[in-house]
Amino acid sequence: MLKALAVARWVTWLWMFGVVFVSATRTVDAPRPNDPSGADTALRHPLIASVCVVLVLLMAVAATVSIRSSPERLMRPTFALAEGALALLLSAIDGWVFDPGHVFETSQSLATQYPLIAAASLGLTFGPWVAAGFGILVGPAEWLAVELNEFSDYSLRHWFSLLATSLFFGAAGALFGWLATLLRRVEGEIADQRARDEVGRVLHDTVLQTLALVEQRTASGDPELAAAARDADRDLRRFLFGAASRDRHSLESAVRSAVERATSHHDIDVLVNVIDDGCRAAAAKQHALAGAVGEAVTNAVKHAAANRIVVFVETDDAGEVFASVRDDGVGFDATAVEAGHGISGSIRDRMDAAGGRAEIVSTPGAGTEVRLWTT
Amino acid sequence: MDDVRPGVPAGPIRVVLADDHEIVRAGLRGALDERFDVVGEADDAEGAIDVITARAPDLVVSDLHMPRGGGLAVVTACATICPIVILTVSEAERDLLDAIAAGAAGYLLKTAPIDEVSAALVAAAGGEPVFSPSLAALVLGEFRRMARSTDSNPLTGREREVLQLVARGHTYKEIGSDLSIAPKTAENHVRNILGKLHLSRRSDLVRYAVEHGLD
Repeated sequence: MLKALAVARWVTWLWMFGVVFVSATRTVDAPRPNDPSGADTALRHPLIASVCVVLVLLMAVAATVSIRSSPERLMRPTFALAEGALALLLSAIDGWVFDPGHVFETSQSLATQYPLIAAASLGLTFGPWVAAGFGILVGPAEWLAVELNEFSDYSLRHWFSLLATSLFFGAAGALFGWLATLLRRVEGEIADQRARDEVGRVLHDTVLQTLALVEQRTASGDPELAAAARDADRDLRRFLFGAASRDRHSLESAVRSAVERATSHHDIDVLVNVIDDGCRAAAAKQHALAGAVGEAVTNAVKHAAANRIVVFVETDDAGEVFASVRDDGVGFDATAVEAGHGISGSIRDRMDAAGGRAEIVSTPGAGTEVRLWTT
Repeated sequence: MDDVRPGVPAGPIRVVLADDHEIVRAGLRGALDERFDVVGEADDAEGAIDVITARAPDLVVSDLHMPRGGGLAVVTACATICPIVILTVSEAERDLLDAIAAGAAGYLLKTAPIDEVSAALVAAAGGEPVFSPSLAALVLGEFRRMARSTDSNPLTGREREVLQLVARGHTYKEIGSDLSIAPKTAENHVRNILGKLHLSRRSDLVRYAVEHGLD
């Protein structure tokens, strides 16, 4: 973006140089009486025009040099403000530098594209609001130019043109500012992700390996240490691969946090498999499903004496969700519980209330599977 | 343990361990019981390929992230010699799918209980795909993405069913009784699914190479 701006500055300068050069050399058919330069060119003040050309040239050179040595200098408030001031100045003295009859007649002006560049520069440094404010000022600056050009024959068309100028540059400033903010946010996210990947690689190669080993070797001899290692492993993993990078509003994160809540303080092996892309189920249904999954895991932890729980969540082709919570615990006589009260009640209620359904399959001695659907 | 399984050699299973962490190899060596005989070790991919080629073991247990090529290079070079099981702490989906697609017999997490690891290794040595529920979910997700981007799902309905049941934590035996098929048939479905994954990933790579002008 900075580079593009630098190129634009050069283009603007070249254009400006061209406009001034052509105007200075072009002879007008009839020299105007109030032309103080006496020369029969379209310029009243060729010297001032040349100074302006040099000023813009200096800006372009400064920007180009800065990009190579220290790009952050271009983002400093002073630079952007100077650029804004220069653009307003150029717009305002346009009518004074050129002969009367210049404004509203030709699209060539002293400032050419410079207000646009200044709007971009201000947007990059200060964000959309300041840049939009600057853009709106370009209209009054041009009105000043019109006055200086000794124009007095205003009609609606002229006022409308000035208003349009303000609106155009105001909108351009806001757009540039917004794009700059967006760009900066993306850059920040990419940098964060890179840093996290790097940390992840290092921790993965060292700490996770060691924790896995500690966990494995102490499983029978020192269950407390094994549990500590498992917790550290889980937390680290969640930080590296999980919550930090996961969308906090996704179905997967809702299910995972429900499972985590249900199993924190319990030493149990839980596997969570979620395929949630393409999920189109209503938020309330997703919420109910995640809650029911948590409930089912809590039941398995508390009542089933399970060693292992597998949670599986999948989105079907229509975007609706199926979930299964399966444990290898003691199981129970499902028909007896189906009949009335019991542990399945709150799961079923949650799903019913959200327009989904639940099914519980269990055999004494052969574990339990809770199945949930959002339709 | 089922010693009459075809392909399981009489006597202990000859294993090569590849992991760049000495402590992990030592831990694994200590944990493997008399059913196994560790015949070689390596701490990087090239070393592993040399040892495997030289010793022609019955089974390889390899880490995913190792210097000089990693587990993927080992699988690519040696998958035809013997089954290779990836033992990793990584849950990085891409790496894993690449390894499986390249022909790894399966993958296990280093956090898995040791008796589960050794049971899975015995099964793998017998030619059974070691297909953990999370891997099944990964593969299921991969095919789903594929189906959405190409409008054609290469999996049959039955294969999808099997994959889903594995992801839900069912064993081959349980899948067999759920779907009224033999456990061996369920296992074959898994083998076919892995084959399809292998093919589609390979054609993906070719397409990628053509589109991006690599050779």
